[in-house]
Amino acid sequence: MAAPRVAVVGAGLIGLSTALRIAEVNPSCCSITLLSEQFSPNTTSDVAAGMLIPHTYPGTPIHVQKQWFKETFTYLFAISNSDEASEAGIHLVSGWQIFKNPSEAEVPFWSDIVLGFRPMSAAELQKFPQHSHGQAFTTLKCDCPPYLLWLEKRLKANGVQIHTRKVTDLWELHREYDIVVNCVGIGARQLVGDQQLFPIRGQVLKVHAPWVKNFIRDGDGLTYIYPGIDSVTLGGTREKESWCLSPDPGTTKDIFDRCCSLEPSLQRAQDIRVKVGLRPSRSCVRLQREVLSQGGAKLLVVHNYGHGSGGFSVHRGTAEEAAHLVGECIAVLQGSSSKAKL
Amino acid sequence: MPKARSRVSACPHLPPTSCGTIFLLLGTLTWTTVTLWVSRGWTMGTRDSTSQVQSRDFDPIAQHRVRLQALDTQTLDCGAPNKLRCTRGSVEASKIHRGCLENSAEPRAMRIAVIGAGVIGLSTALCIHDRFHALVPQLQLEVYADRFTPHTTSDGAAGLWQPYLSDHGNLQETLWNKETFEHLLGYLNLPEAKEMGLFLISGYNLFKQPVPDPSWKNIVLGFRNLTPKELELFPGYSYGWFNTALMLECRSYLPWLTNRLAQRGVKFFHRKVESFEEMFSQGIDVVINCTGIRAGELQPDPALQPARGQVIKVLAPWVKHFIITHDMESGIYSSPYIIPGSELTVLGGIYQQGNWNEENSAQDHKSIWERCCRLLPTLQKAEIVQEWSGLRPARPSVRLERESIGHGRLRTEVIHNYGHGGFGITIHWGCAMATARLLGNVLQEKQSQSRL
Repeated sequence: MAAPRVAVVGAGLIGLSTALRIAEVNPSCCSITLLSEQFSPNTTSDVAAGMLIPHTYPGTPIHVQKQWFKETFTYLFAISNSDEASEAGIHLVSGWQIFKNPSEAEVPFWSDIVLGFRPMSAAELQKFPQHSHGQAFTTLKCDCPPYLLWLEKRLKANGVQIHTRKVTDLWELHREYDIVVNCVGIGARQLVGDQQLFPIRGQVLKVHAPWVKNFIRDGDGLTYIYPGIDSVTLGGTREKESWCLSPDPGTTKDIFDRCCSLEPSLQRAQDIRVKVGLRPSRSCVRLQREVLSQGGAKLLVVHNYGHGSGGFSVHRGTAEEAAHLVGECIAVLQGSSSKAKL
Repeated sequence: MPKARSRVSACPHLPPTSCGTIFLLLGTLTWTTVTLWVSRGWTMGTRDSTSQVQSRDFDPIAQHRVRLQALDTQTLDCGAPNKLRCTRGSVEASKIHRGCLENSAEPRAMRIAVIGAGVIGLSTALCIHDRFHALVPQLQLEVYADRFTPHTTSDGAAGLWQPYLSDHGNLQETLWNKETFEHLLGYLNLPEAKEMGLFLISGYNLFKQPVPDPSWKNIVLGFRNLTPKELELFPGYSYGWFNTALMLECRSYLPWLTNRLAQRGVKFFHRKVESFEEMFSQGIDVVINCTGIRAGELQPDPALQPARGQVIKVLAPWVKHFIITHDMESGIYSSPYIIPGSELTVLGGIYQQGNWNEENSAQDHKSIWERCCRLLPTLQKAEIVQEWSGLRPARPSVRLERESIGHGRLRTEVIHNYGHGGFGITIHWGCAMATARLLGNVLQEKQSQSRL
């Protein structure tokens, strides 16, 4: 049979990294095309700070999440240490996660994967008089757009075709493609009607404050300061079931005030830009195969969406698993084609 | 109303001796009070160096005036336009006059000149003003320099707070480093930290073999050894430290200090001072010598030698940590280092003893660039923006001491505060406070001298 034709739908972090992994794992045995309505800098991923601090999915075993995080961290660590780091937008950043409530300050499952994880000293905590406990560590940050653009470049180097196209129904692809990888993020609510997927709206500020070199994250996940290459991301909000993509000025002020209370020098920040993203949230990432069929025609689908606020932390790990599932699909296709020959 | 018929006695209704005794007693009382103020100011300073000395309601000069009025002060007027230069009458009378008028007329200015406007000069000036301006109302502070920011040695430094690896038993300097760190920490949570060029920064110190912990391990925040995984980032280095310290960029800090001083009426003079005598002949009472590497031009000091450094400043905003490597054989700062500032990242690793050349060297440039890119390959993509060379004022220990110049009536005081090598920013506030303490002693002595 001819080389299977694979389409990856979605050009955010998940779509791009999944397409890349498929290309790396199945170098010559399939053709890969990336289709998306939006590209960087207009994806949800572009709004995120890209910090490697995992979100815990209630519906996924911890050891699986840990494996995904470890693969992602190892992959990015190697890039950060190479001369491609600045182009890829990957860099190390150290900082603190602080808690008002001691019971929240448990050691997380990922503490031995990030670098130098330890409780904060009393002297360090003096900077945060309203917080009683904290954790200090060094992790990685993926700045977007640079990381997404770098992934696109790698895709082209691997012979992946990239087209702008809005897909309204996966079945519409069944004639041109044999396997479709669904990485549409929050779009899956509409595209495949997944009611378990819901947005958690996040508003952030991106500001110019280049003297801020350390991250600060309140353990409640609502207030954070993440220094990137060209801007510092200040956050944020977690509004369940809100689909509103317009920035709210009252929220902007609230975020700014909360961040300034943790880092007063931010009052001198310049060039404040406001962004909104809808985290594609789900109790677990939908990483599974599906077969769509109508009449005698079939379309093999691999779903890889629903990463919520943890996309960056596990993207390479879920891309690896999705690529593996694509490999299974290819085997199925080759198996059925050889059966057809008998 | 009895008139002053005699210039011998300022108080005609009392015999001269008793009058003299009264003034002596009153003078002593005032002197004692001022001495207590000065010494208590010193204690307040060391307890809490960040707060200004509080001004008080108690004003000895006004109080003295009140007492004089009670003695019918109209009889004190000798008619001389400038009371201090009154030479009429006997020596005894002029002594009484001077003693009396120094406490009752407008006090003569106490002119303190700071020479040098780098981090040492300006911070010392501010510390002195903080401590004494309320206690010594006649204090007049002046700063003299031929180079101001951004042309001082301090301006070229990256600005990282970090002492050398070993204090060589110099506990005094370790204490001054600590005082500086804690002083700066006090400003960290204020919005004006940004104007000061002050911010927290974390990073790595790397070694090729295990080394003892430094004297400053408990001064910085979160000091710990590096994990094996972290060491993977730095091939060739097998041991290291991680900690969070402070950056104080002099391109911002010196203007900030200058503004604070100017607001308080401190005068600046842009000129090269050729000698201490030049200052004293212009009526300066005390000179604070913060001339850094060129102190030898004012007074030879073979212990002071240049330790030339060169740096390349690049645009590499993805670098968020300082990385300082150490080669225990070649010595401090001769091994590559990378220090990210608020705008540019500083690459360095040059320490040349005895080299006075302030010009950039192509060979040093190549050496810095190659070694730093080997340390952090991602730097190869960084754009080079600036190159700078400077002379660290190296000395076996900081010269922080008083010296009397001249003798007899022409005896004047110099307080030296120079020789901070490559740790000037790290140690500056501790030295400023120590210099201010020495000045306090000088001022006390001058007060008692004026009674004689």
